[in-house]
Amino acid sequence: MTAANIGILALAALVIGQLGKRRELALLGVSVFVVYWLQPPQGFVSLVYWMPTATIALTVICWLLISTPEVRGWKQNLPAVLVIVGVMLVVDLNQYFGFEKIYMTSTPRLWMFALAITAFAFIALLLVKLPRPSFIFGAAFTAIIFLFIYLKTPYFVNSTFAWINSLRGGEVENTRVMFSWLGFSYIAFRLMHTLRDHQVDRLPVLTLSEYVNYVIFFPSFTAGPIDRAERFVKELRVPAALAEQDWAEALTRLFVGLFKKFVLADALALIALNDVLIEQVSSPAWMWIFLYAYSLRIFFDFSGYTDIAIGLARIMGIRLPENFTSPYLKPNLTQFWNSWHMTLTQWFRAYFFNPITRALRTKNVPVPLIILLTQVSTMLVIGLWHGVTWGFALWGIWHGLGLFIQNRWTEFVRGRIKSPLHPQGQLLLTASGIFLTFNFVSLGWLFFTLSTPALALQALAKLFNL
Amino acid sequence: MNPWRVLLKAFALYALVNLAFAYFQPSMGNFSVYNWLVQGRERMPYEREIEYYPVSHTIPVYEDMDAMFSSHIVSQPKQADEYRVMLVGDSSTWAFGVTPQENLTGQLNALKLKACDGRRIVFYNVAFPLPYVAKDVLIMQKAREYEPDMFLWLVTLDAFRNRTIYTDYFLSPYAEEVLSLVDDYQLKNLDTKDVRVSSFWEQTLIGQRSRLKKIILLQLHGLPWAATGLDYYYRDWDPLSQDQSDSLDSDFGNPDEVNFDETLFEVLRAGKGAVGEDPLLLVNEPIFVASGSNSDIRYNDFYPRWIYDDYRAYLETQARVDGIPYLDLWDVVPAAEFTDSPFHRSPAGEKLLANLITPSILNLTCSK
Repeated sequence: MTAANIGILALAALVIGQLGKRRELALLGVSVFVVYWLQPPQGFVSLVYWMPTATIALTVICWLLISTPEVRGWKQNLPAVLVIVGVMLVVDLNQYFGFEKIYMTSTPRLWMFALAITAFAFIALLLVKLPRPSFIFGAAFTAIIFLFIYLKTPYFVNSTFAWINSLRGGEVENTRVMFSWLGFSYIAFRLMHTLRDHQVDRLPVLTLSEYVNYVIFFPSFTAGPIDRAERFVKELRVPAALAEQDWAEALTRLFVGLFKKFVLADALALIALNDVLIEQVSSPAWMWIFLYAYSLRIFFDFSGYTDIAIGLARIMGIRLPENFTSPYLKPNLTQFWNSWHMTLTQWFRAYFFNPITRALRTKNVPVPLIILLTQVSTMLVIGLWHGVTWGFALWGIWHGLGLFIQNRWTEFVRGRIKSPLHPQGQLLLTASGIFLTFNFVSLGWLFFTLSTPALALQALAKLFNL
Repeated sequence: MNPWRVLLKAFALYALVNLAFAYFQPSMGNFSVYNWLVQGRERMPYEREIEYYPVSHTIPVYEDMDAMFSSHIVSQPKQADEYRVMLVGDSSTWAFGVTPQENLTGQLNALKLKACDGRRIVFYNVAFPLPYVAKDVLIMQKAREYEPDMFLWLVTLDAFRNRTIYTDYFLSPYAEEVLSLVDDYQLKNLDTKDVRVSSFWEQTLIGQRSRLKKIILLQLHGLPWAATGLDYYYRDWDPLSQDQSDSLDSDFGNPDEVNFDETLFEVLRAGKGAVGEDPLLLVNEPIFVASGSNSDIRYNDFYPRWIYDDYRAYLETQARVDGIPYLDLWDVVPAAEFTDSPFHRSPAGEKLLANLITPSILNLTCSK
């Protein structure tokens, strides 16, 4: 998102926040529009329209799966249907009005739009009318995982697009870099959360408008936080009038986020460690400076976006969960992961770490081995969530092993330190912990940011002058 | 709290800061991390392709000569025993594809020359890679703030061409200086119809945002520059062809159209004026001389023989008329020592040129 995008969205948020009861539908319309508006260019031009459409379609299908007949009534959901289809139609009509600079370069012919809507309506009818076997939620959950793996694996995506491209006579020059499904990483997590929670009867009843708003809520659509549906919908249902303090907090958060992203992060990007600098720099001291610059850059960039999302949501009277709480000032890795991209780690804790731990405990596996397996596998999956590459896998394993070692060290020390430390000793211990944790995390970023593990190893050798 | 009121206050504050900036016009380019936090650059910040800025650790800031000069080692205090020579010119003097140690400036410094009065001669490369003499004069004017003792001005025919794109690119940000030059030296041919002094609104923070952004980015590029010592992305290049086309056309037009009196040779006298009392040595820089087919018609891709031969004669006359010491070194560098263009030389070519210029420089040091 550019600063201009955010400025426009902030104005939209200001207006939506003033709408009282009509806030929900206005928010829905803007969110659907933003899904189209922010979709980046694609190798195949038509995908600029169809990928956002797929986002909306997937969301509505999931709602049809989790909704009960009582909540699916036309009367209740017709306004939402009209808003969603209306926005999609307006975007499609772009071709007749020439608003290319506003949202996109290419939209399908009207008959194609009509055909797509009709086909979707037919699928929706089948989902509603046909009996629903119990495995359908698990199947949908698995399908989203497979879709996720497919999209995050460069080999699969590149092969598919190269194949399609060859069928179309090599229309696109470089399909490798020209495909992205904006926001899918986050949407997938929200969809899986609702499917799973519906299965275990933890999900509240959600109307179409509430559900779509939750999944594609425009402030958090592209970069989180990953809220929980039951928390989000409570905020949505009570259009709270903002008090003076709320306004101050919302605007402060928004401007702090803009400053972090567009001043600090973008400036640090110029000196953050990258593939080129690894080759060009030989001094270990400079390598450390550039590595720290990367660590700060990724923090300011990501937490800046979170601040912007929280600020925008707050302007509309909706509180989003926190995603970062000074992670680089934490004295150990566990606390770091409790304060870095918190909503992601909470999601994995709920839907991956805890179930696996419970499963292993029932099988009499030794505790240290359970900890090793669960920590490494959880962090590995978190790594692969960013993309199925060796670099992300190694980054995940690095953190998994780090968490395991820290866990064992804590156990080891706990049994040996009998009396509380002197305050100065405690301070020194905390400072050392912060220093070690920050450096451990920074070294881990090498696997995350550099294009190959070989480059990461080269960087490690230069950092330690080996 | 009323959000609209907050926005209104923020807008009012922003407007106030903008107006104050336009009124006081602080010279932001003088705030620099170079020469104190990191070492100064040995050439003016420049990279021709935007995607290579992060690789060459630089960004051109031609809109702000203060920023250009403050990032350069020339802005370090002058030593008592130092005799400063500024090299002005285009991409061949800036030296594409050649390191600062290997280029003409570096080769001259390696000779460790002494001026007539015994001072160490230190050469500074203040060239900016555009073949455009009007830009050179502006740089010479600015360079006088950095205590020069002599100027070495390397030119080629292409630099005397009037080009509107260069007017926008390099002259417009210095409208007052350019218009003053036109008045002072009665420059009739320099195209200044689009050159205008910026309005008050263009001087606000909003109006200056692009320039300010570049100045900030230049400072940030200082760290990787200091870490790597790289200020250029050294690209692969194809050797020049010895074979030439049979076209007689030049960028100045065909033989019937060319009249050097209507080109920028008049700028030479402005250059002479810009350096004041300091000695100025004008050098017609070496070009690639092809020896393959049609080399009897053209020297290279840029110059057919007819115009280049005329140019040499005209430049020599003009230099004499303007009282500028002149050195014509057009063919002293062998064809094998040119790299990716008929003007860009290899390190060996640079060394050869340095040795050939040295006697004239030493002579001139005795003139002041």
